[in-house]
Amino acid sequence: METNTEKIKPKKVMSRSRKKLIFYILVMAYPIIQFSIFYIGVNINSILLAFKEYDFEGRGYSWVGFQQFSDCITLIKTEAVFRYAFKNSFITYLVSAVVSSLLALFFSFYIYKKKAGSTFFRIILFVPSIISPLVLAIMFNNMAEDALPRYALSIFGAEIQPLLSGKSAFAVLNFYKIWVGFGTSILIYNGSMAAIDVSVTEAAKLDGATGLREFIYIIFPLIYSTFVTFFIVGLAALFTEQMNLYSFYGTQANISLYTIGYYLYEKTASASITEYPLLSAFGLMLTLVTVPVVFAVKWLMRKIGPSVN
Amino acid sequence: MKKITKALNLILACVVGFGALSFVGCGDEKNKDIDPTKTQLEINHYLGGVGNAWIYDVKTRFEAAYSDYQGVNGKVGVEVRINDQKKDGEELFNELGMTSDEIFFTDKSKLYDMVLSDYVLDISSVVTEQNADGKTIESKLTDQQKSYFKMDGKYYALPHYESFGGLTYNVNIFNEYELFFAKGGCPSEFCEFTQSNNADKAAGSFTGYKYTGEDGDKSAGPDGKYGTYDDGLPATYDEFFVLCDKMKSDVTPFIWSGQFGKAYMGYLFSALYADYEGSEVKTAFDFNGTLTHIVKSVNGDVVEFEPATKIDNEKGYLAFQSAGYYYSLKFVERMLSDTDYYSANLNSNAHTHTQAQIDYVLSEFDQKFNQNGKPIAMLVEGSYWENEAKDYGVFDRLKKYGKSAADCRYAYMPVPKVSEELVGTKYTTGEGLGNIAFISSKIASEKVDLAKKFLMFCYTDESLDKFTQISGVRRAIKYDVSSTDSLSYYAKSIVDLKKSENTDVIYMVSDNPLYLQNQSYFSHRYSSEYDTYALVPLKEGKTALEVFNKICEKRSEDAWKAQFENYFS
Amino acid sequence: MKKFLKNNWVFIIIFIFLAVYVLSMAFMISWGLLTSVKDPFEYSYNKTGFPEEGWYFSNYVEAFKSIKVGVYKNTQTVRLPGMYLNTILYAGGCAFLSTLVSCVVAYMCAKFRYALSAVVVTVVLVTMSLPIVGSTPAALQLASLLGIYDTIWGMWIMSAHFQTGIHFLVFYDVFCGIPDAYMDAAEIDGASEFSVMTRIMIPLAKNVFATIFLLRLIGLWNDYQTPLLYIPDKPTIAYGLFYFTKINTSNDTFSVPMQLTGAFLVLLPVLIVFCFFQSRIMTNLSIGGIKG
Repeated sequence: METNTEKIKPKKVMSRSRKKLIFYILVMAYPIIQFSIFYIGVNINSILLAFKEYDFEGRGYSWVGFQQFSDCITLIKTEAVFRYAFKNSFITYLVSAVVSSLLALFFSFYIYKKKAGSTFFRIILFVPSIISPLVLAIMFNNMAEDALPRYALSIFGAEIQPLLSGKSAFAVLNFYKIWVGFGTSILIYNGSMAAIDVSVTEAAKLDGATGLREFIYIIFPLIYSTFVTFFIVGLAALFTEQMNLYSFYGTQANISLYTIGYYLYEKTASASITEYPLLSAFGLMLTLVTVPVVFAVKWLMRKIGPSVN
Repeated sequence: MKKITKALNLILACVVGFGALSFVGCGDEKNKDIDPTKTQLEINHYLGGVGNAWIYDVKTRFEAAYSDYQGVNGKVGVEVRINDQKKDGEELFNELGMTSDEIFFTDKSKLYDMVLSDYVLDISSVVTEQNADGKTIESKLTDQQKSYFKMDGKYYALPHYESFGGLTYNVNIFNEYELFFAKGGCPSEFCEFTQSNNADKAAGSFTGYKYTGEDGDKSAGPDGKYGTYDDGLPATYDEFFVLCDKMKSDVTPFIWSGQFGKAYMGYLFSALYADYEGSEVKTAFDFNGTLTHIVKSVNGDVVEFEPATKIDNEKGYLAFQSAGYYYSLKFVERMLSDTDYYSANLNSNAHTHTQAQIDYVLSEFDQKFNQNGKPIAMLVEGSYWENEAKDYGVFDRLKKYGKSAADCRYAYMPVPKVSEELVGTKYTTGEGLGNIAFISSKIASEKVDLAKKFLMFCYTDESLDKFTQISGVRRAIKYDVSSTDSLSYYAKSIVDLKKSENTDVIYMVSDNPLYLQNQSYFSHRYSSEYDTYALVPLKEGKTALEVFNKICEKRSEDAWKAQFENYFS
Repeated sequence: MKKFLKNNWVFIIIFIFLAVYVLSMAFMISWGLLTSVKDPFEYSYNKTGFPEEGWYFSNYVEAFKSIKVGVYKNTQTVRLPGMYLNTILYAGGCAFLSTLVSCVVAYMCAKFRYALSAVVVTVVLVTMSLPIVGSTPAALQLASLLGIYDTIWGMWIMSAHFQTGIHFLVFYDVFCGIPDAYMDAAEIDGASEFSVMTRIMIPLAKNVFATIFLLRLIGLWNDYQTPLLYIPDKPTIAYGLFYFTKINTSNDTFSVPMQLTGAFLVLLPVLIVFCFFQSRIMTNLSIGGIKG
């Protein structure tokens, strides 16, 4: 005779790993579909253009393999603008990575330690982030070109050239980038520091580590991953950084001020559809150089960086 | 404080809530106010230098003329809807694939790209069929325009407003400070052409510069003829700078925009180049003809030319070695050679084109507007500048000085000739044909006929005349202006310039595939290793010859071949 | 005193730098405010001094009336209040959704070590450095085809992506830093994957979420190019300000004083809200939510 227990067949229980996989697929479905439509779908043609050229007979694009890349290399060798653009892109990145990062770190440290006026400084450092970049550029442009030279003359009797027009333009543009760019980094660095366990810093204080020593041996190692993130992000954007040139000069910056990012932006704005393949190849070439470098630097920085332990 | 914060929180939540609700059931806002009994025509109008009064005038007249138009679904009459906007042709290009606007009047357009992308409708019937004024629009186009606007044997666009750059001079200042050359008061008065072309010859020989006001007996000017629009104006480069030297103690000769000066100076370069090269400008763009001004060497002031050279695609690079480039650079080099020649205002990158117009107009009445403390005589700008300044309210400001726009008198100054040998030759000015009118290929098929009728309506003699009367600017097409009474002094000077038999307009475009398919290469013709814009190295102290040599170097035979070998026959 | 200097010399130096920074920023904003109340034409010759032609506080009234954009082919006009509403909906919605999607995808990549996760992280890095040429017409046409062109909810859909660059990487770092023990413990207690994500892991990163949301919000608040292209009939504050400063050619609004007036007018409500909420916004923000 069959008992009830014999009649009850054990339910098939889905394995945990399978559940995880299903959950993963369900959650990732929308972002991947969105990416496929709005990034790949929209941009794939633009990316594939790098391997095509415009066919005037057929009124469309036809495949030419790596011809555009070869033309890019010729372009880089022959156009005078690239002598400046590559150099300026590197210098701007280094200034940002070194000077801006150092200042942001120290300012954040000061605020984190709640030193005199830290609340006030935190607000002021953040204010440029909420002012429209357009307006900041208008104010700075007029100040640097007109107001400051006149103040210098009337107060100090010194005749100085407009700051964005002459030889000082590149340095001033880099200064501007640092000057208005603290908001994001201060916020994130400060947040990282705030997350540090109080007991760690108190123990360090007891051991006599204060001020710069505390920063170098305690704080910086504990927020190192955040620092690396900023460093890497800046490097990834090496060839897309425009240094606010459009805000100050429109499409008419002197070629001695060009960065690669500005060159691409300015060329794309005025390019004919027949020139898109060359520009697309140029962009792709830069990415193929940048991405491995970014990964390599990321690996290196994590390897040689200070240990949390 | 907590209560205030709470209150703010609540207000914010309400705002967002109401705002989100406002999206529910929002209807077709674009078509909310249309008249359902009429057929709509959607016009996209670039709100630039010509203003928009003219298009609203066309709207009124067209709607009246077509009040009985039989549309689909029993609609009677036409409603013209105008979308005034500020995206120029380059910016508009992105949207042409999906726009609901039907007829476009724009500038800085990429016509060739638009045709390749199938964004524009074939309007050959518009151009070739007889219009309401008994003429075809085609008959009003120059041969050069016909060949440029025709692709694959079809017309796709028509020229919109005309704009050429160069110098504007203030007639009041020239009069007050007696800056017109007097008859017999400059060397060109005694040159062969002026002497031989005028019954009323200047007697004797040149004894020294003499000047007069506008009512005095003036010199013949660059065209070598008395009684024409350019009387009293400097006929040669040398005379021009002698005039600048004379005026600079009382008047600052020039101003241009510090921020956009590179582009505006580009207009002046083109004007100087075009006037020197004359009809050879066409050859420099279509690479089909002979060039006689190719520079062989420059020794001080002496320029030696190569023998006349037949140009084709392969030899196209030689066009960039034309003396027109060199002389235009020399002219601007001299403009920059003395800081008293130009207003110190333009040393600032924050000095916009609007600011330059303000400083130019108002410095006549209040010298505070010029850092040099003097009125400013000449402005380097496009020929639409006066309309633009009017829109900005610059002339309204004159009330402060007890003046009005009617008290201002500006005129277009034809650029002087390189030397006396060229006095009396045709005045050639260059234009880019970037301002165009076209119909979108996305227009509904049942509206095509009406859209074409609208475009034809805009190009009747009556509409063309009204266009100029209202905007003060000419269309880049052949027609007569009925009366200049309502035009400003400046607009009248442009009309006089165009009417003159001595004036030629050459369009700096071509239907040669080498040009059409590489237009951005030709958009910065003065670019060199120094910079995209020639003004930059000149301001930095480079000589005209150095810049010219770099322009030629950049377009060497090898570089040209590497770039355009596919186009060689 | 000696001990104080010995322990605090670095802070004194930083204080000096910060003071100089504050002074320079205050100088520029003061100059901007002073210029904003000048006669628009006076600025042509008086760029540094106090107003000579009178104090033009009326510039603010004029700017308030003039900051407007014609929409639906100029049949309607949107003014400042409408622009604020559009901005709150556009920037708020897009910032929230992009932060949410970045956060969730970063969590999935950090905690679910499938091959796709590594691909996604690589994609984020690549898209940060890849400049795309000439895709705007295609993007606009796609938006039009999908019926989301010129709609704010359409912008929400387009913004709900994970290619947010540094923001994604910050989330990723945070979730990588959270020990798996939290998840394991919750699963042992019978929590589903969804519960673990929504009730344990993401709440641990809530401060980071708030920070990133704020940063995204600020970026979108100031973005004029995207609304100009994709929602032309729903102008935001940034678009309105761009229109006012660069495009509008009516009367005096082209001048620097008027441009600055418009800018400060637009900035004022934001500053007021910021002042009221700044302690809440900035005190609780942190990266890395694990303590103890």
